[in-house]
Amino acid sequence: MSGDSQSFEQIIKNTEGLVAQIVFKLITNPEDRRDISQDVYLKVYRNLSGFKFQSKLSTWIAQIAYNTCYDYLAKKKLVFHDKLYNDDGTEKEVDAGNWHPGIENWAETLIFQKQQAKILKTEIEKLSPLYKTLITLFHNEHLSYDEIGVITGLPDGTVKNYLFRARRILKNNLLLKYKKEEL
Amino acid sequence: MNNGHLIDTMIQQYILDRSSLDVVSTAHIASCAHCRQKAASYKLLFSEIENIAPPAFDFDLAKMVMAQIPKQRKRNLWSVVLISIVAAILIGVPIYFFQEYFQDMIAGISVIVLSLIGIIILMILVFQILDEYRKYDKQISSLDF
Repeated sequence: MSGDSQSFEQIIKNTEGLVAQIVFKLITNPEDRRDISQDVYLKVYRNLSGFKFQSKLSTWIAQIAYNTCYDYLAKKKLVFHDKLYNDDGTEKEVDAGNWHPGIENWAETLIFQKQQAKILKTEIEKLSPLYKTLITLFHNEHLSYDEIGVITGLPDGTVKNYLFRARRILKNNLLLKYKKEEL
Repeated sequence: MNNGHLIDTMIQQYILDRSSLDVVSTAHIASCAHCRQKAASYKLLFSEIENIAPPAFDFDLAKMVMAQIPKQRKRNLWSVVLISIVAAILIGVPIYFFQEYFQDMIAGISVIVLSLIGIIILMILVFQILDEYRKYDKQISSLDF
């Protein structure tokens, strides 16, 4: 595969969507996104002969993209993952209160909100980089827990747990936002 | 269970893969308006997430990357031809000079033994071809984007 320019261009075109999902979720600066995405594919090109066919090529490229972004965030000392636990060891939780009888129609209301997609996007952006990346890879790219584990280097069980927490936080944040708008 | 209701993890599991949830929990959701409502919220949330338009780079990434990659080296066909000729000479010359010896050696072996050797070589070849095909098939499927 290495050395064939046309094939490599095709690989870029076929995988840049997945790479964009990861880069956009982890990197906020547009200039940095440009540099990082180029860096990702230059790394892919240099290491293509080392691809062992143990996963899908797109998964391997996504893994390189994830690691490149992770290194960038570590270098810049940016927060990659919110602190998940309180000092006493219990899990930190966004408190949306108990299920409120007055918001039983939350689902219906959300459907009819004009800016629902925008609100959801904003709330996803508020999640930690790791959480929003996991949400995107699972729900938008439809990757399996196993594939996400390969990309992020996390065990399957951890991926599952983080995803459960991320969705719960997202749902609770949306509920809080809804409650505030109601008041 | 939390206050008689299913915890969020179980409700998410119910929406994502109903069959993986135990019968008691599934039955609870069916009979509990509170949990059903929560399940509906998660279901809506998941579908809304899926509806978000994917991000796209506002520049031609392929073009930018390809500009930085060194031009492909032309394969030197002559070197391939030269290596083939040298290999043919290295194998052919001993066979030519020692052909009588080889003929005597083969003539001394019975037809049955020769056939057996031939079958074994053929079987090894078939297994190797099958193995290579399996490898090739695996590699092609891993390129499926």
